[in-house]
Amino acid sequence: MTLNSDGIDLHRERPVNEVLGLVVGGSLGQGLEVKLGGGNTWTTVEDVKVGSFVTIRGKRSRFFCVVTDVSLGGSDPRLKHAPAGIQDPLIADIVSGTIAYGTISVLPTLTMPNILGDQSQVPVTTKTIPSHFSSVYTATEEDVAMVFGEEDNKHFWIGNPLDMDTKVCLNLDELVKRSIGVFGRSGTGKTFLTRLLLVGILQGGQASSLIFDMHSEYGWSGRDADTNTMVKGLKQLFPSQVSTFTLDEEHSRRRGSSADEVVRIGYSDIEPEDIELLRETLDLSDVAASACYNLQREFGQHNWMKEFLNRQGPDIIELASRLNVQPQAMASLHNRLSTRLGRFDFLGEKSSFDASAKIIEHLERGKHVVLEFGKYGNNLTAYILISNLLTRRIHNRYIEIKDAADGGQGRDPRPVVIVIEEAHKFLNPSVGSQTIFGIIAREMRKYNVTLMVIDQRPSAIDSEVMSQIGTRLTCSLDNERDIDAVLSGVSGSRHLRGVISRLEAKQQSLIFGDALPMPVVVHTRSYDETFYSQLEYGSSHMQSTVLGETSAERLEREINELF
Amino acid sequence: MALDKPLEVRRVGEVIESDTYSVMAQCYELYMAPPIGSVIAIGTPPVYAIVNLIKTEPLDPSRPILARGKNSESESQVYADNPQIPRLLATRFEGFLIGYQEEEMDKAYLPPVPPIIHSFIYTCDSESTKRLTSDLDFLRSMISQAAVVSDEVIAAFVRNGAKYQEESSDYLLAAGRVLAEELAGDFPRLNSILRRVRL
Ligand SMILES: Nc1ncnc2c1ncn2[C@@H]1O[C@H](COP(=O)(O)OP(=O)(O)O)[C@@H](O)[C@H]1O
Ligand SMILES: [Mg+2]
Repeated sequence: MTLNSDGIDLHRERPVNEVLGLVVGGSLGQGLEVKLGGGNTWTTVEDVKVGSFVTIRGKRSRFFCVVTDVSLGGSDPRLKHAPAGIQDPLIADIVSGTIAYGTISVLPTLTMPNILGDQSQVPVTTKTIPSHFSSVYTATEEDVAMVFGEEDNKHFWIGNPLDMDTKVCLNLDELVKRSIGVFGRSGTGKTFLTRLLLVGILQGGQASSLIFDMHSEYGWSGRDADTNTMVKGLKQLFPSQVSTFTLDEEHSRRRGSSADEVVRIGYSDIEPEDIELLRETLDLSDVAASACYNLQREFGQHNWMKEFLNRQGPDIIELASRLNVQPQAMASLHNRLSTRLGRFDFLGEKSSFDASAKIIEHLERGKHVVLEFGKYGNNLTAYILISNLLTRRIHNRYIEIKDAADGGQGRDPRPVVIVIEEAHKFLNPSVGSQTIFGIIAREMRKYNVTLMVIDQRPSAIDSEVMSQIGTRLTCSLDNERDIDAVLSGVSGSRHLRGVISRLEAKQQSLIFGDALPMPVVVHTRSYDETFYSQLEYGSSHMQSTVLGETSAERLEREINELF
Repeated sequence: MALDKPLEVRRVGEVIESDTYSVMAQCYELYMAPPIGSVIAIGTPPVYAIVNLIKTEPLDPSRPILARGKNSESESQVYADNPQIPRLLATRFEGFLIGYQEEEMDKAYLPPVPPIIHSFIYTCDSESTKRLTSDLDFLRSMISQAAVVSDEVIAAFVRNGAKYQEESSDYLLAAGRVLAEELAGDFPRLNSILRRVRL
């Protein structure tokens, strides 16, 4: 038995993977430079992929690092100019790895326990780097598992590191503590990733979710446009835990989904700031939008919209001069509101249905609420209006409940994650500071409300809001400004840039932030039949199984029930 | 790959000059120097050296050799017609020290003091040639004198080594990489040596 100075049995150390190379330089901030080769192995650059993991065995600790770049180096610049002799295969073999060698840049992120199975030590953020010529190894599955945790009811399996079978698990408690961002070009897998996150949150039970489901993809089945098949929605997977609301009953019924509630909104629910947020989509001038406030002052919150829309031609001009608003602006406001909002079936002069109260009621019962927009899915005006209006009310209500709870009356409201698509429409710098979503993002989880923003143009989101997003998941992005925005405020972002731009076009994402110990590129878990069947075992609150049924039979029964 | 014909231990000569880095030896028989790049053992316990320069010259430097074969049929005829020639000439060779043996252990660095004059010089047999060439530290030790050891000698050493290894191509690769590490900043020189190690 060989004991080192700390009395640790060296022979009990974990078996190591092959040596990739040696540390030859670098810094904590900029990352380490590793020369490939050395020892008896001659790794070529082609064996190493950006985004993969390596461990470095320093003198005292082991470091867990991610590969951020791969390059070719040479000890003699003349090699480039006069590569004579290299045609000879023997000479080429000798020279490659020695004089002409590969280097990789790695970013040390965590310090690992030196000994496998040592439970007293957990990976922690690294504050130093290994010394010169420390050996670098490909990380083993065990190393990766130690870092990204095991699947349990607090850790949700979101995908696998590239080329590895190990699971990457999100810490659900951390995930829902602050806002979540899901980014990526169109068609890269944002919707699928969001479905997974929602299942995770639902199973973990840390929070309820309220989903403003623009394209009706999350509640009932959604269409996979690529394969032209249907994928299951939350309601199908967790019927007893999910409530669906709809703005378009007809549409829901056609899709075979019976919504639990049909949402109706009264004119009296609309506030001037809702219209203000629609300025861009309704193409209103500043003056026209702010005229709503004058109208509200004149007629009161309850009646302003109804009164205004009931007026015609000359009455509007008269009203304008009475309220000291430019007549032209008043007329265009009237025109936009009546033609654009007037078309919405869900909007009426009066509504006895208090949608926000209903939603809160469901949320408080621990349900997850999906609001389907049906035919209004392509109508940004409807989406912004409804999401904003309902969220504002729900937020107000949460503040009341929370303040009461803080004052010793009642319980804290159940944490809720509000999911919005096209988030930059709500959170761009010109409106982000005033809208309810901007407020929620900034106040963090003070009132137990956080956001999950889904967007393909993160650069259009207010940077202050962006900085409050705790966990970011990004699929492929190609616009430089979008990449910058996603990485804003992240240390080591220089290295991550390249990683994002090289993500595959589908089902790959870079995940970083609160819910993970370090940034990682994953092949997103497939959301498919296999996933559905894995859920049965993963969740105790799953719908009941018919006794004696095998999982295959059960799957078949469920499919039959659905279609 | 087949091994070359076996080598034997032969006593070939004696040290006639000696310094920290090298020895000069005289052969007992004219033209019987070991080949360049081969490993020789000097004295007991042995100091190891690599054969570098081989030269044959008049014993008496003041008596230059004259051409004698103008009317001879062949070169051997020249020697036959002038039987005194071998007595007037001597073959000498230089050996670069690369290591030594101490307490049965091979050391791949210079002996603390060079071999004494009249130390006997032996060729190495296949077994020790294989042992000494496969320890690439000896190769490193030799390249550390790269400024004075010629590319040819280094290449000959490697070639010679390869002949006595079971896997000569693996050996060439490993030795080549040692050379590449040692000569990392001098690609042209490395290239020049490597082109000469091909068997
Ligand atoms: N996790 C996943 N499981 C299965 N298919 C996926 C996954 N991620 C992406 N895909 C495929 O990629 C396509 C685009 O994904 P989607 O989420 O609709 O993109 P986005 O919402 O970013 O426009 C999907 O139709 C599907 O075929
Ligand atoms: Mg989508």
